[in-house]
Formats: sequence, structure tokens, C-alpha cells
Amino acid sequence: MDEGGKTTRSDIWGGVGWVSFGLVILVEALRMDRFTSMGATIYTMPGFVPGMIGVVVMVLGSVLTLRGWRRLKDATSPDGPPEPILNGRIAITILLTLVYAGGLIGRVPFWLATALFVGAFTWLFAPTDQAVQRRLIGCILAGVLTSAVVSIVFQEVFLVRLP
Amino acid sequence: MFEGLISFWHSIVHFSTPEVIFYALLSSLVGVVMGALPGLTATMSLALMTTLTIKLPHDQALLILVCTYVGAIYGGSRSAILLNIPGTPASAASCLDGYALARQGLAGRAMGIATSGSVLGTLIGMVFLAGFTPILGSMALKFGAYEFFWLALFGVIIAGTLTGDDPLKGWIAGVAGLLIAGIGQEPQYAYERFSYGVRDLAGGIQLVPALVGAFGFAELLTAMKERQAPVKISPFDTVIPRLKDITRYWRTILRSGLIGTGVGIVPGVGEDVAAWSSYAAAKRASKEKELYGKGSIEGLMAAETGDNACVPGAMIPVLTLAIPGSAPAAVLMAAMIIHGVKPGPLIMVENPQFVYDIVAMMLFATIGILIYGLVLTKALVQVLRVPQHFIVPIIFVLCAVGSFAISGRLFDVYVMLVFGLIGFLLRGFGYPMAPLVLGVVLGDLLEKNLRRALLLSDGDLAPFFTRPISAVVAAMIFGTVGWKIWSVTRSNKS
Repeated sequence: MDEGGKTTRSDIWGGVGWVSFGLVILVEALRMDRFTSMGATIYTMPGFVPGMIGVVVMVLGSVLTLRGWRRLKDATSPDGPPEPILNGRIAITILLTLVYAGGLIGRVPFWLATALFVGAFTWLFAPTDQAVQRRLIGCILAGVLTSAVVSIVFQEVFLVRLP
Repeated sequence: MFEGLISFWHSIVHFSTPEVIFYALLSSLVGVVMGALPGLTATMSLALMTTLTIKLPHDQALLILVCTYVGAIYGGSRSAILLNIPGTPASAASCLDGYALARQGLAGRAMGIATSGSVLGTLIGMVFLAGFTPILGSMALKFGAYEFFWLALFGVIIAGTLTGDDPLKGWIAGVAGLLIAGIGQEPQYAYERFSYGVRDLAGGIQLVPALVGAFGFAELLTAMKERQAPVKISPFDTVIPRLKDITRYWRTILRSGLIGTGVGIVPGVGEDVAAWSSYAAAKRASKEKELYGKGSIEGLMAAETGDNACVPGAMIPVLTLAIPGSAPAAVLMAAMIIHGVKPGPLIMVENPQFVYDIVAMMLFATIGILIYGLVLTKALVQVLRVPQHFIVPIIFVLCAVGSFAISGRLFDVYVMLVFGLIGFLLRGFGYPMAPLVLGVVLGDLLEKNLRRALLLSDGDLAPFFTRPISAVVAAMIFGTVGWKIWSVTRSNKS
């Protein structure tokens, strides 16, 4: 059980996280308006189902924690170091996508944002053994073509408004 | 019987226009290409295509989605056979014998087997879709709030049990999905839950941007984890299926078609389980068990027939109960609702023609995959050579634009981002995404029916267990959970 983040310890902490999350949901559900003045019964109150789900999340989280704890106790050899979920490639991908979708879109023209994003992405992840000139041409072409094709296809063919 | 055939014929005639045939062929091609590319699943393809087709008339939009669905499930076999990497989870079983055949220099024959299996599987499923839907639809008219509550819960539980490595994490993902469905105004008093004054949250989380994030963005992040290895495609001979392969294994085809359709009907299970179940059943009944895993034509045929038969099968509960049979079917159901089609027990009363429209769409999709399987294989496999650093940003642009296209709100793009990151982390910790999707889709149905049922019985729980259908579904849920707990406890002891 040491693939990605799937380790016994991560299960224990994950379970604790779920129990806390379920507790927050339960508290929030109890704080919701009960509409008793409008004749609501316990079953029709807005917090009824979320509250129940909160309890179920707490129960399942507890089982996950207990199971992980028991496995840790019974393990003859400790967990090996898990493969990290995040690495440099994923961190760069997340950064680029957040800048594009969370920052550029809606603030600069769509075609420009898209050309910049695709161009930058292609440049950063292209094989480093490629000649710089070839890499540059590849990323400019990818950025410009994607931007043009997506803009035209969405606006003219699918009649979709772009951000 | 004849009424059904006449309705089916009407649907065929209705869709036989050059424009619609063009859409069908194009979307089947898109499905095959997206399915063939490792990391892009049928669910993601459907979520993306739902956003692209939002402005089209509903029949054309749904035709495109059905063709994409069938195409993607079939397309996964290309990379499974040629690269030993399943294009979609549904094709994982095809890797075992498909790649083994390719290594023996029989990649063309393997692709021909995959084509014939997929076509025949879809056709078998279509027959059941046309025949079973009216029967199940009329039965579903007798279902009340108690039955629908249990069915919604069953979908989440069974998806959690069967779609990941760890049922406990599957159930947690499913319950988290139910919780997400509860965000926004609740149905009875329009009370805003978990919106914290954010106006865009008051309307709830839109399903499609959430799915595009959880499947699309999260899959891209997973794909980016490692640098793509240089693609080595096995050389292949003719891809024309041999009649001998079909006639020799007709029992396997029929059995796999039945298993695939049956698995599809079970809420929340999906094509990968259909493929593995068909493969396992074929191996058990086979006279050439020793060939399985080493290049068995029968094994490949079983897996490919099973997963494609699951597609029409998964549409049966969508149409009759509004409960999806698989994760892609959940997206398709959401698309139907967006386009104003109301799936559910009343469909055979209000809009029976629609059922046959879906069957006709499946037929067009089948013709599409047959054409691409026979004619365009050599050109299509070139897609597998396109480097990851070109494909990933383009797909992400489509994820962002598609999320925006649904309602023209930037908020939905942020929803896609948040769900993508959450989905990526959950996957990393071993939580499957299919139960989460089922939870989000079925949350509203579950809540409405639970509250309605308790109101009707004045809080009495007895009708949940004494009404015949309720009792059966409840027994299945408790049986599934109990069996899993028992098997885990037993394996821990041993």
C-alpha cells in the first residue's frame, strides 16, 4: 500500500480529516433554519439530509482511521516512503492552469490568454534535447493555432460565447 | 413488438439527414480519438462534448454525445492493443490478450477482433435497450419515494464497491458526492445551504463543470505526472475482421453481450466491470484457458463485446429510472436534463419515441465505429504519436471554455479548477471518482425521495423495508456492504 498517497498513515490522517469534515457538516446542518414556524417537521428541515450525511461521513472516516491504525499496528515491516502525489511537473502544470483559468481568462482577450498559455506550456514541457529554434517554432505554432481554431470553432460553429 | 419496430424505423428516418449523419460520423471519430488517447476517458470526452453542444438542438446534441460515448469505449482498444496502455479504463481487460497478439505480429487481427466485438456488443445491447426499456419503464411507474431512495443509494454504494480498489474509500467518495449535490438552494423552502453568501453558489454546483474538473483537469494532472515515454506502435497487418473469428466464438460473443448489458443495467457499475466480468466468464467457460493472457482471440473478443454492450445497457436505468448505469451515462443523463429531456419512469408515457431515438443514435454510432475500425485505423493510430505537451494544454483550454460555455459564468471555470484539484488529490489517495459522480448526480433524487417518504410515513421506517421492491433493493445494499465487510475481515484474519 505505498502507491501514490495510498499509505496506511495517509489513511489514518485521511480518516481524521473525514471525521472532522463530517463534524463540520453536522454542526452546519444543525445551525440551519428549521422553518418550524412554517410547519416543517424534522424530515422536511433543510439540515436533515446534510446532517445525516455528515454523520455517515464521520462513521466512515472513523472506520478508515481505525482500519489504518490496526494495519499499522499489525504491520511486520513499516510502510516504505510513499511516492509523492505532487512533483515538479505537476506543480508547474497546476501553476500554469491556475494562471490561465483563474487569472488570465476574463481579464485579457481570450485569444491572447490561450496563445500565451498553450505556448508557455508547450515550451516548458517540450523535450529539452530539442534545438531551441525548433522548440520555439513548435510552441508559437501550437499557441497561435490552438487559439485561432478554438476561437473560430466555438464562436462560429458551436455559437458559444467565449470568456 | 411491431410498435417498437415502427418507432425505431421512424427514428432512423428522422436522423437520416446529411447534417445528422455528418454529426454522427464526426462525433464517433472524436470519441474514438479521445478514447484512444491514454488519459482521456469516455466520461471526460462526454463532459467536454456536453459543453460544446450546448447550443445545438437537443436531438442533435444527444446524438453527438451518444456517438462520442460509443466511440470512446471502442477507441480505448486501439492503445490497449498497440501500446499495452488502456485508452480508457474499460479497455484494461483488452490489454491482456490484445497486446499479446500485437507482440506476435497480429495487431491488425487483434484490432479486427476488437472492432467486431465492439460492434456486436453494441448491437446486442441495443436489442435489450429497445426491448427492456418499455418493460422496465412500466414497472418503474409503480415505484414510489421509498424505492427511488433505495435505488439512488444503491447506485452510490455499488459504484463505491466495484469501481475502486477499496470499497470504504469508494463509499466515502460517493457520500462526498451526495454532499456536493446538497450545496445551494434546497428543494422545499429554497433555503441556501453551504453557500456562505456567495451568490453563484446559491444555485448549487453545476454538474458539468464539476465533472469536467474531476475527470478532465484531474486526469490531465495525473497524465502530467511522468514524462511521456517515446511511443512505439507495433506494426500491423490487415484490420478486416475474420468471419471465422466471429462464427467460432459466437457463444462467447452472445454471453459477453448479455453480461455487458446486464452489468450496464446495474446502477453505477460501468464498462470496466463489464469487460472484466465478460472476460472472466469467457475464461471459465473456455476450452482454451491456457491461451488467456498470452494472446487469446476469445478473451479479447469477450472483453471488447462486454464493454461495448454495457453502453446501451447503462442507458436502460437512465431512461427508465433516471439513475445512471455508469459514470459516462451519468454525464449523458445530465446532458439530457440540460437539453430539457426528462428521463425517468414517465418517459414511456410522455415521450416513448425518445427511447427509440437513443437506440437509433446507438446504431449510427455503431456504423461509425465500424467504418473507422475498417478504413481509418492506420491514420487514427498516428494520433497516438502526438506528444503529450501538445495535447494536454489543448484539452485544458477545452475544459476551461467548455465550463464557461454552460452558463457564461467565470464561476463555473473556477468550479472546474477546484474540482480538478480535489479530484486529483482524492485519486492520489486512492478514492475513485465514479462514486463521487454518481453521488453528485443522484444526490437530489435521494434527498427528495427520502424526505418525501418520511413525510408520507410520518417518520415510520417500516415501509422502507416492507414494500416488496424496497425490501429487495435494501437487502441488496445491506448484503453488498455486509459481504464486503465480511470478506475484508476474513482476509485480515487469514
